[in-house]
Parts: sequence; C-alpha cells; structure tokens
Amino acid sequence: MADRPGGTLVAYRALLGAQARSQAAYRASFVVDLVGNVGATVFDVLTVLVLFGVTRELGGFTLRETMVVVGLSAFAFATADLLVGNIERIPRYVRTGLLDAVLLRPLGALPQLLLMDLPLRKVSRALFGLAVWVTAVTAAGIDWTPARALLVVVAPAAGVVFFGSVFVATATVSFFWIESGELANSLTYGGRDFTSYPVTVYGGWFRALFAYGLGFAFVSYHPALALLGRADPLGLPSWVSWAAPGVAVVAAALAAAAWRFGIRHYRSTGS
Amino acid sequence: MGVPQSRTEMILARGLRKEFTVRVKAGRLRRHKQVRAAVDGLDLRVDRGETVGYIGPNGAGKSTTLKMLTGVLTPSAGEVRVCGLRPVAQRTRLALRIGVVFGQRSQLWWDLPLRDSFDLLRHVYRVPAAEHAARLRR
Repeated sequence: MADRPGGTLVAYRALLGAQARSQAAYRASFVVDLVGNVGATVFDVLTVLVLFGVTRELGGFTLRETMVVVGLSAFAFATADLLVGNIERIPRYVRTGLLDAVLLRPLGALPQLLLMDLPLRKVSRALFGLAVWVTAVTAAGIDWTPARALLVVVAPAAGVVFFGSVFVATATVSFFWIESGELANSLTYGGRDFTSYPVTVYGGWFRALFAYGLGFAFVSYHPALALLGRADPLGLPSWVSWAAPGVAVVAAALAAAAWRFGIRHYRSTGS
Repeated sequence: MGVPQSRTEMILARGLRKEFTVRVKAGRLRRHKQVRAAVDGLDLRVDRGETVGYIGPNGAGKSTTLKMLTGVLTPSAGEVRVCGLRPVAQRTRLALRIGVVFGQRSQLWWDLPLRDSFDLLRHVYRVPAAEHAARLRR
C-alpha cells in the first residue's frame, strides 16, 4: 500500500475531528467545562494583582512589568496544557491498553495519544492567557525594535514548546514508576507558578535549581527583560535574555529523547 | 514499501528473548529483583500463505511474542523480521501492512457510532474511500 505524502496528515486530522465530535456529544457539559476552565488561569493573574494591592514593586519589578511575565507564563502554560497536558494520563493509557492499540497503528504514538484525548475545553484558558499577554505587552510601554517585535511572537511559542517538553519528559517517568504523577505535577504546575513571577522574588538554591537548572527562567523572565529593555538585576549578560528560543529547542530535543527511551522500555500489560 | 528479503519469508525470529525484572518479596520489607524470561530463545519462520497456530497456557508468552513481532515491545535479545522489516525501528511502516487483534479494549471510539470508528480507522490505515465503501457493503 503506497503511503501518499498527505495521508498521514489527513489521518491525524481525522483523529482530531473525532475528538471534537466526541466532546460535543454532551454539549451542555462541554460549555460548562469551557467556562469553568478559565477559572484556574484567572486566579493566577488575580493573585498577582492582589499582591500589587499591598506593594508597588515585586522583586524590583512594577505592576506593568510583572504583567508581561504573568501574561507570558499564563499563555505558555495554558496552551501547552491544552496541546500536550493530557500526556500525564500515561498510566491510564498503559492500564486500559490504549497505548498498545496506538502502537499497533501506522502513526506516531505520541501524536495519536495527544489528538485522541485533546481537552478542547481548555481552549478557553489559552485564549484568556493570550488576552492577558496582548494587554500586558500593549500596556508595558515597550520601545519597539524589529528584534523585539519578533520576540513578542517567538517568546510565547518558545514557552509553549518548553512547557510541552516538561509535560512529555515528566510523563515519560511514569513508564517506569506508574504512580509518579505528583513528581510530574511539581514540575509542570510548579513550573507554571514559578514562571508567574520575576525570578528575583525567589532566593538561594531554589532559584538556582528552577530558574537555571531546569530552565524555567527562560519561559517568561528573560524574554520579559529583553522586551522591556532591562538589564538583569542578577547580573547575567543581556544576550541571555534572548536565549529563550534556543533553550526551548534543547528542551524539546531532551523530551523527545526521553519519550523514545520510555517507549523502547515500555513493558505493556495483558492482552 | 519494503520488499521482503526473501520472496516467501514473512516472519522470521531467531533466538528471540524477552525478560522482565520482577520484585519478589523476601521477608517483611526486603524485596529482591529477579529476572524472568517470558520468551526464551524462540526460533520461528512463517512463510507467505502459511496459517500458523501458536498455543500455550496463560502466561506462556504468546502475547509477549506477538507484541515483539508487532513492535510494541522491544526484545531483550535475538532478531526479528516481519515482512522484512524490523518491528520496533520500522513500527509505523510495518503497521500499515499487518492486522493485529488482541483482546483489545480500546480500538473503538467510545462516544461515537460504530460507523465513525470504521471511518476513522480508514484514515489511519489510508484505505481509499471507494474501497472502504465496498468493504462496508459486504
């Protein structure tokens, strides 16, 4: 059977369409989910606004500057959670045999799992994140240059790729330790909370580990510095603030390697 | 598509082995690891047109063998070729050419009509629309 070049894409699109119809089968519940899902992301942003009710600066950043960090974090996390977040259900896919079924089909296992379980109700969160990002960037008084105009588009994309990589890499751990969900959550949801504030508010080894050991400083903090034209208060050279896309590519490569390793060592269950 | 290395050889396994590490209780808290072979040194050759039964009691390693032949599991040792392809490395190419049914719980889409599931799988396996319609009519 010859595989037409478009065949694979058509197949993926069909899987996505099926997922959309599945979820629309219960319309009222879908609408409730759609609205309810905005909640979590709204609270992340509200928390920051409340903090600024009692202080004028947070880690040396004003409200307008901090909102650039918050918007970037909110959009990147919500979008990655929409596209890739369901991969944290790997233990269930293993138990129900869905992973076996997916491996027996002539398509990539990871894209199939993502498309077959895409939580469309989370679209509302991603859109809210986007709105915060656009508002923050508009209000921040950025001195626009061509490089910054490019970064304003690339940085959110890099953030999505970075969070997506964290989701995939931590989910891979559950190929080996089935009940490792909490460990994964500390990095995914923990990473979202960490990136909602300038890293200057954290201290010591905690900042060193999350910001640079794991790379979360490149999701929102460094791109925000570059857009705002601020020098890093922690003294890193200014080119570091433009490194986010590179860091995202490295993270994606590591996550892909982890996924391949996990699949090769997958043990399967039953028949 | 891959042409079988020999005209007739469809499945070839040599010294195929799959071992799992299990933890066995040893005393109240201690457990030690033990390596158990689910499939141990299987040699198998199935030619084109042959019909073969593969039987054994529960836990004999039948499903494990099939999972290695289809690329779901990576063998611990030995060699496999199916349709001249290496199952794990060339999994998606192989999947286009073979049919597999386990006592599978999740080949269908729960929320959708049966016909939609067939239609989806048509896309997954790239079956032309006309041929698909003809098969459904049968």
